[in-house]
Amino acid sequence: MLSPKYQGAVIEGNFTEEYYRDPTRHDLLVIGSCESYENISTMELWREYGITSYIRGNSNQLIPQSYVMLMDALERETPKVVLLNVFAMTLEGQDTEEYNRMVFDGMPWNRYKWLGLQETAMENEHLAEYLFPALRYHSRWQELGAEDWEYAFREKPLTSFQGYYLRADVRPAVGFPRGRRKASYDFPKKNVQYLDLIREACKARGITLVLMKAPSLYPAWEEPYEEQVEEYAARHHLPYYNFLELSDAVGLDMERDTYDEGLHLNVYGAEKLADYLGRELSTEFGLGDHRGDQEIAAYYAERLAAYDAEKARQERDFAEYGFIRRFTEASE
Amino acid sequence: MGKSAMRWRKRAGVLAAAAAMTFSMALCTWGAGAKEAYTYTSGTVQFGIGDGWDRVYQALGREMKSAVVANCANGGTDKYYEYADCDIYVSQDAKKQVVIDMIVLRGDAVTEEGLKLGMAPKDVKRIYPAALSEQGLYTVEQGGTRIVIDCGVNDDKVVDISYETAD
Repeated sequence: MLSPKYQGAVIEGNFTEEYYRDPTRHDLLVIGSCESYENISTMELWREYGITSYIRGNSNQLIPQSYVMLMDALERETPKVVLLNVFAMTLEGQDTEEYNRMVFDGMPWNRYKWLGLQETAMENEHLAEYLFPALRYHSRWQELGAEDWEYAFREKPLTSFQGYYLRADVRPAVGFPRGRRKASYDFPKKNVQYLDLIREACKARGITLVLMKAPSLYPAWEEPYEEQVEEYAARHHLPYYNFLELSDAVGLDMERDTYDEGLHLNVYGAEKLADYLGRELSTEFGLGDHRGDQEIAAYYAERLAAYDAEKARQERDFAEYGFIRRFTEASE
Repeated sequence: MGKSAMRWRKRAGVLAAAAAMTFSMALCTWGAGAKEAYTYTSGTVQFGIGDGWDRVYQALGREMKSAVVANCANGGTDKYYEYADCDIYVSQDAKKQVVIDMIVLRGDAVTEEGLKLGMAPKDVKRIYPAALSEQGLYTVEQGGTRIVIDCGVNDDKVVDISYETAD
């Protein structure tokens, strides 16, 4: 009752738990921060290529947390390809407790959740508050709103599409401030250590690990970051796609394909990226077309209809108001 | 609950309150001895890291340019504002107040201690004798804040001055 329901404006807190509601298995699993869940349309991957996929991404999801998401998923399924967005390699630690809450609150207890909390909890966070959420959220009783009552005893509507966060608004890219120079651009050791663990876990199961950098324009993807990823990918024979460099090949137009001035792609950009990626995944990595599989196709047809309806609803909102009022599909 | 148990609880409560008061007084005494944080003055308004944004924004007036810079779900509250003499980055704190996160000086801006862009590393050392240097980056800390002065990879002149929270 007291836990946040994340309906309405900030819906990202639902993404972890929604994975467990998907009855299908996936050939492609995407892991990473918001650069993973806001830039690739899983529905377009299905529509155009019949690729089954899920994005296990969260806001500011750290690399150890992506490892946790992967290992937790591997308890249920074995995808053919794991696609890791590398931006979080640059992150030293978590910014706010809310981000950790969004990652972990929706995950059932298991050894990986425990590990993730131990590795990434902030100084003022206590494991007991994750075990007993009422300890953390007891003061929310004063703030309870309609959605708390509405979803206290019934299932919430899905807010993502196989983990993809749909946005149909358009805000052209602007210039961003340059970042301050740092004394060192080396990735934190813990991130490299967990990247190794992700790679080893994939290798042990015959999964192809693919690295990618999303075309997000900010925070800046500095050259030393790129060099480290390229060097790591070459050393371990991993495919790596830098979509900042592939932006023209993908056909991105940052005047139209971003909803927040260049930080993330909107659905028009995410569909273009999915078109490019789908081609690569089909031809280079052999991901099959499941559109002929009746059971899977029936599930995806339902999600695709919801996706198209939500896209149309957001487009109407944006045309009428200049912004989108809510981001949940059951909001009308 | 028996009377003796209630009495014991009441006494424990009084003792706990007294201990808390002593502790907070000790904290106040300690706080009084701590160094003040670095601040920057733009026109007539003085501000620093962690200050509320509303007051400063009212004083500075409309920015030349601004953009959302939150890279993950945050409701667009991480923003930067560009002024003639500085860029100011703001975000929400734990109490959901919009506060200043970082200040980057531009143009002819001068720190309250007298440093400005274009000066030499020797000026940095003169003005901030306690500054620690690493690869042309000079850092000086005070009261939970720090100023990071970038003298470039060649370590020959000040190209960037940033006010930040100290680690």
